[in-house]
Amino acid sequence: MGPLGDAQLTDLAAAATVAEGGQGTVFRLARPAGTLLKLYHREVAVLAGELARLIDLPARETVATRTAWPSGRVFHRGRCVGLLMPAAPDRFTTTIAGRPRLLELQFLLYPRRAMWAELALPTEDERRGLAAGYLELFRELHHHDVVLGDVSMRNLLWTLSGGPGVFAIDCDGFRVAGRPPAVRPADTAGWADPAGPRELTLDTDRYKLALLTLRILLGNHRVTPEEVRGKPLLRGRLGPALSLLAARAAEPGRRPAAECWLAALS
Amino acid sequence: MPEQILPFYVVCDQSYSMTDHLDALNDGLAQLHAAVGTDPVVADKTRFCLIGFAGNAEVLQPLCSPSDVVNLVGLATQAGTNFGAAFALLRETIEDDVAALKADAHQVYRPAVFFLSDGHPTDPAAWPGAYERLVDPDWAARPNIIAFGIGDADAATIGRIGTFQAFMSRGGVSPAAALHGFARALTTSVVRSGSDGDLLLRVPTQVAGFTALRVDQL
Ligand SMILES: Nc1ncnc2c1ncn2[C@@H]1O[C@H](COP(=O)(O)OP(=O)(O)OP(=O)(O)O)[C@@H](O)[C@H]1O
Repeated sequence: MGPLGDAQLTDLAAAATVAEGGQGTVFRLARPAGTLLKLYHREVAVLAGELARLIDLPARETVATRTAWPSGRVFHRGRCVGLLMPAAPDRFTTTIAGRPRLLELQFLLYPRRAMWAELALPTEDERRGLAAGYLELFRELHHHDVVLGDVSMRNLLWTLSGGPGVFAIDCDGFRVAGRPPAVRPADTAGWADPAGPRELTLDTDRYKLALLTLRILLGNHRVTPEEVRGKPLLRGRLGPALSLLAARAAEPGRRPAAECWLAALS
Repeated sequence: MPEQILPFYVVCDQSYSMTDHLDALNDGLAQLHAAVGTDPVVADKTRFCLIGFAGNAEVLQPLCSPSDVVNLVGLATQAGTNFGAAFALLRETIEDDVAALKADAHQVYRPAVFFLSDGHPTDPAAWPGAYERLVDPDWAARPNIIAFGIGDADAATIGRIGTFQAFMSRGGVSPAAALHGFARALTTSVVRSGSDGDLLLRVPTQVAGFTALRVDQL
């Protein structure tokens, strides 16, 4: 028996195409409202058993409002071809150039350009709030031994409406430490662990978490812990506590856990 | 700040036969621009240029960062379907653009050209020469060409022009639907290629409403 939310593709009615991803096409379903279907591209290998394990993980409850955690698998002719998940809440969407747009992490890490001139970007304090939001999400998942694996500037969302809030999509690459992921996530360029581990572990996640925190606080899409260690100017902006953590993040095996960053931020 | 840049050229037929479809095409291009221009990662690594051609060819949007230009210039129809003029202008434009990007210390990847036509060239004897100069193996910046034929376009000609991939719209598919598929394929290609760490050109192998004539990967 699989998860309760499992469905047959032929029983689902897609209302609209949401987006085309590297691994699948995402559709909005006609029913139930707010549910999305990700239909994998043909060549994508899906481990149906691991996907069921992910769906039934207890960790899901604690992060339910902050992730598009898969809610069920979708089968066609006996094969797992996709998954169901909740759509990101409306407050993680904005309008840019007259079109709806997800508030993706990338907007926090690049200088403002004419095309998104109207977008309200966070103040320094709000940036700290958003960084803390991602740190808390990672802390929760790591507490349950869940490894996120990949961090991508498109798959982490943020909002300022109702206070700083965060949301993670594309969760099918998450896995319990030691298990293979249901679907192999990309290793997003610019976010890879320089230690080049063979398997993604909590330690690689902690490196990515350091990148995420430093990049949000500094508003820079390519700053690294290694760079912070060597640049007094950046350390000056971060202050001693965060700079110390950045230095530790540059050493595989000594990378700070989410709690450490949270303590330094508060 | 020096970056690695992937320049994209969209080259569209704006001959009279396109009149009825121009709104659909302009709308598709606006959608492409909105999708690419509001994606900071992709906008940072790509540059975009729009060329229209009929009896003559003209650069409608000079090479730009897609996030810096808010309103794209639209296509407007004219007489003729001079492929040679389009290829000659492309060669000249790419040459200048690549030199300018390099002068700014950027690393430049092989440009990508998306070529769209709905008809037969009115310069059958002249265009192959201009085309050969564009794809000259001795020219370092020769682009990868993805060719799309819709409506009355000749499959053999479109297949010959595409160096990377070539697509013909299926019989029974309306030009508007085909243009929609064209715009979506373009968006997917630019977004995927631009967010790829190695800036590989990523074109979907299937495009809604089109038959792939050839799928060549480098
Ligand atoms: N829960 C969601 N709510 C809203 N939009 C979503 C959601 N999940 C996915 N999308 C949209 O669909 C796109 C592709 O989804 P996703 O990242 O899960 O697919 P993918 O094939 O793994 O993509 P990639 O590997 O390119 O990141 C996203 O970038 C986003 O625009």
